[in-house]
Amino acid sequence: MPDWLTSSAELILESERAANLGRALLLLALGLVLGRVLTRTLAALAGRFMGPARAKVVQNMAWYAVVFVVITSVLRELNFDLSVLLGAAGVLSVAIGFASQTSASNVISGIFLLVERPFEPGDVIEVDSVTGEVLGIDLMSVRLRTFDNLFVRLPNESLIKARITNLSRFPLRRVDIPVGVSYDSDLEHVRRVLERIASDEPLVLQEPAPVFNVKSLGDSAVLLSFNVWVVRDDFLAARAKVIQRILVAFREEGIEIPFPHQVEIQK
Amino acid sequence: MSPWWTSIELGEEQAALWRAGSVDLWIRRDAHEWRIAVDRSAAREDEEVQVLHPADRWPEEGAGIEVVRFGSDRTSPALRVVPVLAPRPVVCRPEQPFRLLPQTEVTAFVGCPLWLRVIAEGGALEFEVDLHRPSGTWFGPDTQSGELCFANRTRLHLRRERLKHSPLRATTRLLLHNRTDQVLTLSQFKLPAPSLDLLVDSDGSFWSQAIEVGFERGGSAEIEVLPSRDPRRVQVLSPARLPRGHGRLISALSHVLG
Repeated sequence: MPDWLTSSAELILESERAANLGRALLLLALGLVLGRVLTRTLAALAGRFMGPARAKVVQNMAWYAVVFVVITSVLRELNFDLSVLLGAAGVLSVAIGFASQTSASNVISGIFLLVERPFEPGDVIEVDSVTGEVLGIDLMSVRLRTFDNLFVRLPNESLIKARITNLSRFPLRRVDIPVGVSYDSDLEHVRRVLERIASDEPLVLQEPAPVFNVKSLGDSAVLLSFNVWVVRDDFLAARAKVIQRILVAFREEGIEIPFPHQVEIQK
Repeated sequence: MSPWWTSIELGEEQAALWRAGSVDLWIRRDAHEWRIAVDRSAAREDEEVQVLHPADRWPEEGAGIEVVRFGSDRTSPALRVVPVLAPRPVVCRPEQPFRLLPQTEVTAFVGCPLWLRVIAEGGALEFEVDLHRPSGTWFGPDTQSGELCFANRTRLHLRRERLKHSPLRATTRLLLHNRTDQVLTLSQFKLPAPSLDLLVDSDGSFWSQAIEVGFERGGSAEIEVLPSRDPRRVQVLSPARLPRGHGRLISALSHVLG
């Protein structure tokens, strides 16, 4: 083959490669920009129906899908043989699949959590022994801030299996206060004193009405339960105030709260 | 003598005191600060409101006294303390549940708790103090849905004379119409206090706007806030907290009677 023909063919090939590269770069840039616009629009639409936290997850999932499609297209534009690549990816994905079972489980659990909506960001939840405010819900995990200001990451997989108590779902909460009084106490008198406490404490709701119950006869005290309803946000303050009032009122009314005594006898 | 809710002028480093039932409300003006102290420990039988202006002392700040401070680049002397109605609906109950016969109407009266609103700096400073420490109560079909209200300590009466007169409460007149063919049991009633103007008559007694409630067939209630009977004898002291639409409000019966 004459030299001029060889060099011309090389030149054509070079220019074709350059054109492919240019197209690939253009595709990459356009794909990512359009993908960003598309996913943001999708998130805005989703946000109207499912709230900002879930919309963010939808946006992330859509973004990963867009990135996958764009990269595949770019590689094809660069004349990569995708069948080989996908074949390798198939083998690789089996290996990765075994290695990332937990992550996949977390993602699937995350999707279930997003659909089921047992809690929202801002809610206070109790999971096993952890209680805290939900900071965010992601595909892999839920982030909590505990009341002693610790950051806790809970994998979605564990949340699906665990018992979740949402402390913020309903506007009211019941404060259960166990009370023990001596066997000498007049229980009707105790009932009247507790009713007065509930009536005098502004944080205690008058409806649903407070409930007084005799629970059992303990070793050293008659065990009672005193249940009052409060607004959810007043729970801790109301509990503290009612207990303080019980102590003061029982002292004033001569109602004894028995407690264990230790007597040391020296021989 | 001018009524206790008229505007006063407080000089710098001066204090004034409002005594209202068990509440002592102290207000002090400094060059760059307003200081408000609330003492609820007073045990007084007399509920008439007294104003000491200027007050000869400032309470010893400590346990049991709630103190609030407001800063400003320069305070101005005008100050007003006015009574206002409750910021939430008030749930009223008759002494015993009573039944309203079909196609009848009755007029009932109830005393509503009042708050004191401190207004200074042209309205930029607003602070409220409740005079009765009312308890909250839940008004709704269950503990999941409903509305947080105040529980009224005074009862609903069919005769106004039976209401204990108190200068720290406003009286509300309720016209209740049972337009159904069934006996209606009235065990509680939700008074929309934030939607009512507080009025004062020429005797210095406080009233809220009257309400007419028509209980209709099909389980609905038609609520209308009535204009005052004699506008020459009463004046609006504090307008309603919530904007009120014109005309009648149709509500489910359960939203009014629980």
